[in-house]
Amino acid sequence: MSNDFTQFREAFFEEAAEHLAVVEEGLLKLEQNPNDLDLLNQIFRSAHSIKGTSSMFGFTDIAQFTHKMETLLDLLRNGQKVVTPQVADLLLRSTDCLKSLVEAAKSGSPIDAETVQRLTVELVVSQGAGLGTSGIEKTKATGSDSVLATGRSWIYTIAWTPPAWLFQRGLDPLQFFKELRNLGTLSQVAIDTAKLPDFVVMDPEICYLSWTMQLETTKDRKAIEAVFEFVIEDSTLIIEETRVPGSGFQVSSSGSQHETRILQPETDDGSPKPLGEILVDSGVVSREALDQALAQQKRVGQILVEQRVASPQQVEQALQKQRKMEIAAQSKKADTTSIRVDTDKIDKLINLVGELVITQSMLSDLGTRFEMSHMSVLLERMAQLERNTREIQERVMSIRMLPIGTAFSRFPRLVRDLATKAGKKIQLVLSGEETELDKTVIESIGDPLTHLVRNSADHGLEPPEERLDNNKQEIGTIRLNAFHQGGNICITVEDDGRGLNRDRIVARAVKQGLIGENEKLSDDQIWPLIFRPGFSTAEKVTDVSGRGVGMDVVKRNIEGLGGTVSIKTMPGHGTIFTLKLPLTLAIIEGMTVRVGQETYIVPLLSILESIQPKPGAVKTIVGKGEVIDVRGTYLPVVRMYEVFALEPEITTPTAAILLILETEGERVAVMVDEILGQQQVVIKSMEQNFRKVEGIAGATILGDGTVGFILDVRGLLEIARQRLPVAA
Amino acid sequence: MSKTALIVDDSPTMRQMVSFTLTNAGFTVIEAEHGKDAVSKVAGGPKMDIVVTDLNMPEMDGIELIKELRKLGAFKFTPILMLTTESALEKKQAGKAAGATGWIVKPFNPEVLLKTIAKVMPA
Repeated sequence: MSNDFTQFREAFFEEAAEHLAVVEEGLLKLEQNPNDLDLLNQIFRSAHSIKGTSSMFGFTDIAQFTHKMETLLDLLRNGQKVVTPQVADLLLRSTDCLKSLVEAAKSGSPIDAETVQRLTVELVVSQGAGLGTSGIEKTKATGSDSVLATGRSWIYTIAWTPPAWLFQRGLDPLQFFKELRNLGTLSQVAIDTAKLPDFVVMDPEICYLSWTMQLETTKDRKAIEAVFEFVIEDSTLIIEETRVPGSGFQVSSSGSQHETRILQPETDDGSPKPLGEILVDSGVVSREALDQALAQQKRVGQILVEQRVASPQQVEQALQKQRKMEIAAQSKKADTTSIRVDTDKIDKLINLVGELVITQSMLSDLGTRFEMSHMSVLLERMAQLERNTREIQERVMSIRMLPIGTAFSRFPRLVRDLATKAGKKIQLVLSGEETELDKTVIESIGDPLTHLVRNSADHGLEPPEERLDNNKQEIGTIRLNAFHQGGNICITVEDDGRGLNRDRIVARAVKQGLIGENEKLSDDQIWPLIFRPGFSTAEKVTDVSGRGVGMDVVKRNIEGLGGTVSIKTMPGHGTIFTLKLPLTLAIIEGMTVRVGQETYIVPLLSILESIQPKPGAVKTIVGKGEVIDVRGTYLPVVRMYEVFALEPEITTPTAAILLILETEGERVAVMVDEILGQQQVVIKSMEQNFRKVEGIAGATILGDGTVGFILDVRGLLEIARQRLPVAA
Repeated sequence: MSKTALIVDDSPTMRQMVSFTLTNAGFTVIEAEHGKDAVSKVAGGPKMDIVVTDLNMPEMDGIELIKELRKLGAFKFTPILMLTTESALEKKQAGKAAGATGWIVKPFNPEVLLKTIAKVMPA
């Protein structure tokens, strides 16, 4: 066992990813509700956690960068700065940068130092350091961390006699008072002009003055001395401290030699107040201060704009670099993955395994002295074993189950960016985030979903003017919803945009030779055309979508997961894409069918119906082989025993069962001897255990111990098609 | 109305870093390679709001530059910060005697740079 923290690195990366998600999500919400303090606190905490944890692993880049973000966030949550779109945008970009830093730390790849540096500067600048900030919002700007941490106030009485050459070195006494005010509440500043000579002999470049003042702060003496850093060796500086109790205070040290010192706690103007009151006060003041702060913000924003204009290419290059890094890091990530499981789930699992062990020992005990009279006990134990096994299977599967919300979380940001880029107004509505499904499925649907959402934002939703012209709300809506339906999960991507344009799709399909010019097709046959490779009706290629890649990839990916995609659209009212996916990839719901002596499993998802054909329903058409008339549509008939060269029991279609299967929009009737039943089967890979076999998706072990093959419907169709010329 | 800053350093990298930070903070920046270069660039020219100078430089070093600048009317009360390293802190005294307002110890980060400038520069 290693005794350092490296073993927790994986956990850190996962935790960091979660925090980053919280930060990003929070920031997006914050843009809408800039005054949500709870939200700010939440974002702050997450950033703080990343900072703290990353430093434990020596990721100083991450820690330092996060610290900069945290400082800005702290100013925001203390109301010393206002959340403006510019600030939110900066924080979002910083979050992206932080993500890339985390990815870099994870994969060991180099960091994008340029972006980090640029954002670091922007973050520091946005905090107002160095830019002549005035007004109350700035007073507690520096290190408010410790203000909150200690909460103890001290009153310092400061007497300062600066060196005579103060002005000659370019120092301004006012600057010192401003700095002191940054530490806390400065009051009772009194000037001592006793040393001021006659006007005639006075040298205007010499400083004759000295000051006394009171400062209420939670900072220690060192912080005050730091203010006088450049003159402390040449000044006379006396600092006395007094603790602030609930009311009034005592002087703890002996008095000073300065006459001008005033120590009256109950003066009306600027007398020291408890910290809480000051904060309340500053809340009142912040009404006016808000305007000031906003003006301030604008200035920073302008600076940033100016800065960006100065080198937009550089920024773009850095962004591209970052994107590349993200992609590279993500592909690496796939190699080692981990999953966070509730201890609750594990405890239950352990409990169940315990029960399994007990059942097993009871069975072996029974086996050593078995008599026929014990048969009922044996059956009872076997039933118990079955129950244990089933429960364990369910529990183990549930470990792989994650709420789909993790796949949804990327979309608020994506939609925001897309909307900004396209100049559209889009709101995203998420629902069903808590729906659980297999981790692998969640990871694999991210890209297809992204394509669909992009498609909706780019093609589906109209620009605001067009929407208004059509008496629609200016803001377009994209809805993402997930829900369970039977043994499947359905995910819908819905937009209230213009809907699919039938004429354009037909025209395009004819042009591409996908359909004949005079072919009469129903809507349900038209819409799936957009899933054909290379199909795009977009008039212009944007960098979002419209290159004709995407929709076919969506379909391929979803079908690769054993799912289906369907489209519903209403011209002028929007489009709904529905993804239907299995809950898990390891187990499929299958229909067991018999062909001769062999048992095959047909994935339930692909079965539309099963029919027993009437005499004459199956016809042979020259060049197309056998077809069956199913309610007016002719489907090709595939005799399974022919494809797999089996010895069938039944060769006449009327005596057999035809399963109507659908894959990628194509339908086919598959002839089998008999349907045995429906069951869940665990998929075992053919490639890993034997080799790839055309038409077979995998194998499973059936209840009687024999091997059953799982049909690959797509492959079966291909085989049938290749056989056709021979058959015809 | 942006503030102007004079940055004097013989290291281009150092100059770039300081310049980058200040430009980002909204300053208009004038860069000079050494003391002489700096004096030639500002003598009779624009008034500066802040001067940040290295100490070890060819032609004219930082201490000399500060003395020269203080002789100019336009720079009599201008805040001048010198960049010094931890190992050369004793230069601080010489700098102060020459009229330097303050110092920044290398290595520093943008934050320290901006904070120190805020400390000495009237708003």
